[in-house]
Amino acid sequence: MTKYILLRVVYLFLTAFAVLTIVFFALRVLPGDPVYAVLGGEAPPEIVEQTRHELGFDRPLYEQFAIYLSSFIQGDLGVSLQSKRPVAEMIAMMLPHTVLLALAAIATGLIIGVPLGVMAAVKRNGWFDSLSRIIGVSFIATPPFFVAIILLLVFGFWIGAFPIVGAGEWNQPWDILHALILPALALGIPKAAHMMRFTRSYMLEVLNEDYIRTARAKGLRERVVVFTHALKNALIPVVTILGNQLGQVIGGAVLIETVFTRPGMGRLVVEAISGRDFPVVQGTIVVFSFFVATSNMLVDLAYGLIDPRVRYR
Amino acid sequence: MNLDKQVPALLRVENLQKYFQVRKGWLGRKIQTLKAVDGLTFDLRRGETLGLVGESGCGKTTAGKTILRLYEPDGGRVVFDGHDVVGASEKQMLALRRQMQIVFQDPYDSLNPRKTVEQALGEPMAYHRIVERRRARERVAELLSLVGLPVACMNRYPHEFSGGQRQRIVIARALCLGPQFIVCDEAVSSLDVSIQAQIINLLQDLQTQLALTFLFISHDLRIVKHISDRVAIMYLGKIVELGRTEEIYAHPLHPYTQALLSAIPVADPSNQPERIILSGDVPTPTRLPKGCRFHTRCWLKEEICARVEPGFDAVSDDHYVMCHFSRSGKVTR
Amino acid sequence: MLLPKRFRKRVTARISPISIDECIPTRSESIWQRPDVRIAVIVLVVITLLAIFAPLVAPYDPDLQNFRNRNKPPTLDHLCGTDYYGRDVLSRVIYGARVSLAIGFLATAFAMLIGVTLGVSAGFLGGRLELVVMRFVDVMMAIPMIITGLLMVAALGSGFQTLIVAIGISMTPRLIRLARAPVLVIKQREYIQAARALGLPNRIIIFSHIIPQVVPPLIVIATLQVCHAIVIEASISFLGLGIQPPMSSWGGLLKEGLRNLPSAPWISLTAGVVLTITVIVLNILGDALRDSLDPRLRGRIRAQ
Ligand SMILES: Nc1ncnc2c1ncn2[C@@H]1O[C@H](COP(=O)(O)OP(=O)(O)O)[C@@H](O)[C@H]1O
Ligand SMILES: [Mg+2]
Repeated sequence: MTKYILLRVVYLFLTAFAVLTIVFFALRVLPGDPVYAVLGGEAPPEIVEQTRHELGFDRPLYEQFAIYLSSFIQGDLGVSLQSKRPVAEMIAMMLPHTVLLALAAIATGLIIGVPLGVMAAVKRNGWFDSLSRIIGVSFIATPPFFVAIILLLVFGFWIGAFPIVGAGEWNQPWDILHALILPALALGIPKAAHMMRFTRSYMLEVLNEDYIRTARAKGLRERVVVFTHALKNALIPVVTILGNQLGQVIGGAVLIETVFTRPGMGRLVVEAISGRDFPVVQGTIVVFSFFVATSNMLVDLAYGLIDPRVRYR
Repeated sequence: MNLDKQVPALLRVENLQKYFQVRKGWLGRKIQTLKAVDGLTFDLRRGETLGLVGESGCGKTTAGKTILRLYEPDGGRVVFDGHDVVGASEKQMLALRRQMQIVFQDPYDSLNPRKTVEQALGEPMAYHRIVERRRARERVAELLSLVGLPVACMNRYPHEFSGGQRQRIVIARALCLGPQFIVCDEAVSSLDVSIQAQIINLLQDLQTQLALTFLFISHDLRIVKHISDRVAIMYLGKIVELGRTEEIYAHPLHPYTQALLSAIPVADPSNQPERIILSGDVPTPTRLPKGCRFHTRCWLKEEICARVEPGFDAVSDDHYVMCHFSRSGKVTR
Repeated sequence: MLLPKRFRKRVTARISPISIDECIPTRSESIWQRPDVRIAVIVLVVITLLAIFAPLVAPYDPDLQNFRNRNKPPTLDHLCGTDYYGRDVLSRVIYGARVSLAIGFLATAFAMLIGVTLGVSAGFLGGRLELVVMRFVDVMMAIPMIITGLLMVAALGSGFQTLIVAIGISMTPRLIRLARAPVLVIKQREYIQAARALGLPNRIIIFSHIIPQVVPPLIVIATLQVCHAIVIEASISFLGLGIQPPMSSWGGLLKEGLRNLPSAPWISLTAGVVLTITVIVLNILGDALRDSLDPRLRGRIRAQ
């Protein structure tokens, strides 16, 4: 088991390294000159060449990569071409906001989705089940950024109960929380629809198993059966889905941050991509992929812990 | 049928090896070598049927596929009609493929469900330019009547046929390039007993009609006895006994063969030999025992068996056994 | 094992030896009798027709500016109001449907083309090619699709064709996985071995035996991918990196609407509602079609 975890961690770093390599070379092989992005289109040729030299973009690609890699390993992700600030510092400032948002969204999804799924399964084919099915189908597909726009309009502009811009300062936890609610709902509601659907189908499966019938036959109260016996087993597959959800939620955060004008990795990467700010793009995407890969790994491990039937092959 | 030793071998298999690398352990890091076929040696004479028997998993299918180079061998030689199969270039291989065919066990898996009989038979003939395009249909019809199917079924799909009929189609497909040699890998094992007999008869008829040579792979010792001229007994990737059918069935010399044969019910129960029940572990093909590979289950085991692998020796004309005691009389019953 | 129950029944029911290949999307399945599927089909047809016949059905020229009519709320003249330049929002949404649907389908088709090529060759040929392709897929799957899309757009430039390529590429890893999984099953079948024994080259085996079995169910699965493609296109345009104004697209309208959200919410709402309906409809349809497929050909991609 320890060995397995270790191997998975190694694999995780290999994935991050591979992403870094791909992004590094994709940026440089594909058209789009960062020097013009730094200087603007009108700069005289000698200035362009001088800047190119200063930034090291005139060296051979493998040399650029070697230089970048050696400083990357020491934790130096380079300097932003636009703001001239260290990339690591920028990421360190933005990452907590995005992680907070992603976790809040997942939590929202679980808190709303799982109980609804259980209820739908228990009252199968009743009006609640049908209603939740319709709502579920609608929200699974709804793009989170449209949910965000609606929430912003209704609760931000019309009702005015929540801030419409920014994420608050870290020393003001209440502000942070206040500003987090709408974005977390926007990302979390579609996830909740997902969770509801999965919880429902797994619950139905579990409720049909023999040991549940036995528990019922023993005269246990229905509520006890549902919550202690069935839910525990139905949650196992729900956990595995979480891993993939985290990846998607982080992707969705990119747009949510734009809607709410929140600081975060999403805004950072979008601005860096449109400004051809290579060091920032590289740094942010590696961090993104590291997150996705880590969450997949954690879920795989958690799955093994919860379900003894799973053997790591 | 020609049992004469003087007749040159159509197929010669020498020390053939096929190893699989199986991944075990976490993340598939541990790689083990599974010796599915581990030094197979035999001759096949023109026009004869050699039965290849052994327990399931002993490597019979792998042997058949490796001989046809559906698997790349890891060692050894296969010589077909004077041509080296293992070292054949792609072009030479194409020519050899016309000569050597295979019929698989599962007739439900052996036909592409989305192709009609005509397409299934026509495709390889077209690729090999066996007949002109406008004569292709005729040739398909010929093949169908050869295997006893009505010509009208040419435009049907596999799901419209029964298992036995499908196996006839599969045989027709194996014949479509005009081969000399066919590997029948458990060709009747999945069929009902009554159908089995029909297909066996068909194979025998085809053999005389088309001068075919068969490698008849089976785990059913009774069918093998019926159809084979000679029999090879395989155990964990190697042949442990080889000889003429009557001889093997009357005087088996290898303890493993004796155990297998003792399990066949005979018509006259008073004649039924005492059943030999093998004890001991069946070794996994990834960890073959040292010495004789049968010693873990052998009731004649002595100290030497765990140490030295016995040679494949001729005990009499045309009868080979791989056992330290094949001549000692210890094994005779 | 972990299949939802409704799948599980089918699995046991279909364990007969005939099986996977005969369960390619059969129209006889009852999905067409489901009311949600019927409604979805009707809605999708309507949206598609509106997109195709946009010049005939749109009440106004989508680019016609009218400065006396800026940010006007919905009226009988302008059913969905007007935007900052006085353009008719409904007309812009109808024209936007052309962009969204076209990019959605074409990007998926592009991804299918590459995905099937790579997935089938990796699965069938195996060896080092498979190793390289599948590792690459693993790595790409660690980058959120939208980020890959943005990166490709940034590199290739924004525009109709480049968006198709960019979105197509970001969808490709998933389709490679989807295409490879059934190949691994099919290539073990004895008729493939028999074809090899008959000397048929890989080229013929792939085109005559593998592709005809893999592609039809994959096309069904791709229906679900179309809605991903549409959402990604809208997202990229929403972030300002996709379709550029004055050309109208749903994502662009949402972006424009966000800027004028308090004063003209109907811009965002109209575009967003139409986008959402399209995606929901495609989702329902894709789900239903996928359920009608044989489980073993559905591929082993994790629940998503
Ligand atoms: N493609 C393969 N990869 C790995 N192992 C295999 C493969 N094919 C067969 N084997 C293994 O090789 C051994 C012999 O198998 P096989 O030739 O099918 O036996 P038989 O036909 O006698 O039942 C078995 O242990 C089987 O698990
Ligand atoms: Mg076999």
